[in-house]
Amino acid sequence: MEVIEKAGSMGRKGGVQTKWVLSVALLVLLACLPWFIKGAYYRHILIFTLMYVVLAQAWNLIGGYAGQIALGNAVFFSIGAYTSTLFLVKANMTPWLGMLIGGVFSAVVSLALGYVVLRLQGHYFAMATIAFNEIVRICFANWRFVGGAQGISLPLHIGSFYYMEWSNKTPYYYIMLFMAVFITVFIYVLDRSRFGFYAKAVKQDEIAAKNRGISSFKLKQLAFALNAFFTAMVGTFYAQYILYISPDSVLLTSNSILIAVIAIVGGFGTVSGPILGAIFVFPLTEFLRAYLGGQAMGLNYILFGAAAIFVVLVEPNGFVALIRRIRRSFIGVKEQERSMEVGGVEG
Amino acid sequence: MEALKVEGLTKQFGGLVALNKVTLQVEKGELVGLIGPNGSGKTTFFNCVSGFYTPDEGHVYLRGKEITGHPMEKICESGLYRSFQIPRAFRELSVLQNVLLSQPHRTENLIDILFRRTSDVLVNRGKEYIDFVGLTHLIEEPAGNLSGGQQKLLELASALMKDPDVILLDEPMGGVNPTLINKITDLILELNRSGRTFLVIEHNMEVIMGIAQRLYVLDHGVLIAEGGPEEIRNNDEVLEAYFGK
Repeated sequence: MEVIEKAGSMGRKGGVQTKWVLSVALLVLLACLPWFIKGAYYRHILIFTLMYVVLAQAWNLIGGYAGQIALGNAVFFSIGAYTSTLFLVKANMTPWLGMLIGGVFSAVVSLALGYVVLRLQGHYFAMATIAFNEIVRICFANWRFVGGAQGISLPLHIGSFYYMEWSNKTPYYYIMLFMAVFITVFIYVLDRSRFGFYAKAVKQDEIAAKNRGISSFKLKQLAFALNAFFTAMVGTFYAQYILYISPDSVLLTSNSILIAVIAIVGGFGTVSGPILGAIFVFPLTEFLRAYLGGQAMGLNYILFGAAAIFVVLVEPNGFVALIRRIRRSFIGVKEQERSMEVGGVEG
Repeated sequence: MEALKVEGLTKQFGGLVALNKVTLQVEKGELVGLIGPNGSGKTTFFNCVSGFYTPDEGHVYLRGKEITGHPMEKICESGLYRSFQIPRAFRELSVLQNVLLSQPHRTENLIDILFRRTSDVLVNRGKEYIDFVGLTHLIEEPAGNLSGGQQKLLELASALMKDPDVILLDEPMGGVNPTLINKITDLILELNRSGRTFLVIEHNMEVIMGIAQRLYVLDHGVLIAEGGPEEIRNNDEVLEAYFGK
C-alpha cells in the first residue's frame, strides 16, 4: 500500500516538474517573441490574444469557478477604460494610477450589482447581466460627461511612460504578457486554495455546501469582484492602446459573450482552459477576417460558431478535457485523473 | 439549558399545514428520536430548523440563542449540523475532502480563502474522524464510489468535523444493510456517551427504540406523543397513527 502511494507521489512529482519546465520554456519563448515577430499586424494579434487570455481568465473566476455565466463583462471592461481615461483627460492623472482606481471602482460596482443578481440562478443570472450590459451601454451613449455616443479620443503623448503611450507595440506586448502571466499564476494559486476547493463543492451541490457552513453567496461575490477588478484593468490597457473608446467599441454585449465563449471553448474552471481558448478563438477570428473578410463577410462568425458547437457536443468541458482525453487514450495514463488534487488538501 | 429548543413551529405549503405548532426540546447530551408515519412532517421539521425552509411561525433556539429563519450556512456555523435523508456527498471530491469541507468557516478571512490551504491540524482531525467511522482505506476515493451505507458513515464523519452542539440525523439507517446498521448504531451511541447531542429521525423502530432516551411522535404535522421508548410503545394514539383504528 505504502509502496504504491510512494510510487504514485513520485510519478506525480515528475509530472509537476515537466509542467514547470514547460511553463518556463513557454514563458521564455513568449518573452522573446517580439524579436521574431516584427510585423505590426502580427504583433497586434499577439497583444490582443494575450488581452483575451486575461479577460477569459478573469471571467473564469465567476464563470468557471463560481459557476455563474456572467454575460456583462464589457461593463467592467468599460468602467476600467472610462475611469482611467476620464481621470487622464480631466485631471491629467497617469493611467497607471487610473488603472488601479478603475479596477477598484469596477469591483465595487460588481459587489453592488452582485448583491442583487447573484441571488438569481442559472439562465436568469446570465440574462440579468446581459440586461445590465445593455442598460449601461445606452446610458453611456447618452451621457455627455463621458463623451456620449461619440466616445472619447485620448490625448497624444507618444513615447511617454507616464501617459502609457508608445509608438512601438513592444511595451504594450510586455504589459499584456505580464498581466496574462500574473492572472494565470493567480488562478493557479486560487485553484489550489480553499477558494478553489469550496468553489468546486458549491458547483457540485450548492445546498450541501451551504449545509457545511460555506456561504456560496459570499464566494460568488468574491469571484465576481475579482473578475471585475481584472477585467477593468484590461479596459484601461485597451483605452491606452487604441487611444479611442466609445460605447460601441467597448460596451457591446457581443464582447461580453466573446469573453465567455473563449473560456467555455477552452475549458472553464481550469487554469489552462482560457489560455487555449484565447489562442484558438482570437487569431482564428482575426485571420479569417483579414484574409476572407471582403469576400465572405461573417464567415469567421460561422466557423467560430461551428467550433463552439463542436466543442460543446464532443467535449463540454472544452479543449482542456479534449486534450486530456486524447493524451489518456495515447499513453493510457489512468493515474492522471486520480492525482488531480483539489485545493485545500495535499495529496 | 436546552441544546435545542423549538417553540410553536409552523410551516404551511399553500393550504397544507405541514407542521402545526410543534414544540420540543433536546437537552445537552441527550439522544432523542423523532418518529412518525410517512408524510408526518419529520423532514420538513428538520428543514425548518436547519434553515432550508423559513418557518411561518415559531422560534428555534440553539443553546438559548435564537436562530429562527437564519440562512443554512449561518445555522451550521452556529453549531447545528444536519444530515440529509439521501446522502449529499460531493461525489467528485475525495472522502477526506468531503470531511474537510466541514472545517470551521466563520473564522476564515479573505487571505485564508484565497491563498491558504487547510491547516495540517484540521487535516489530521479530519483523518481521525474518518478513522473513527472506519473509512480510512477509502480516504482518497471519490465519494461517488462509496456505497449508500458508506456515504452515511461519511456524513457522520463530516458532522463530527464541524464539532456541532446538536446533530440532526435524517434516517441514518435508511437503506443500509444490517451489519452496517449495527455499526452506525454503535457509533452514534459511542458519540452520545461522550457527550454529543442527537436528534434522530428513523423508521427502523427496533433501532431507534433501542438507542433513544426519549422520543417525539409526529403525525400530520402535529406532535401526538412524547416520552421514553416504553411509553411510546404503549401509547394508543401512536399505535393509531401507525396502524389506523
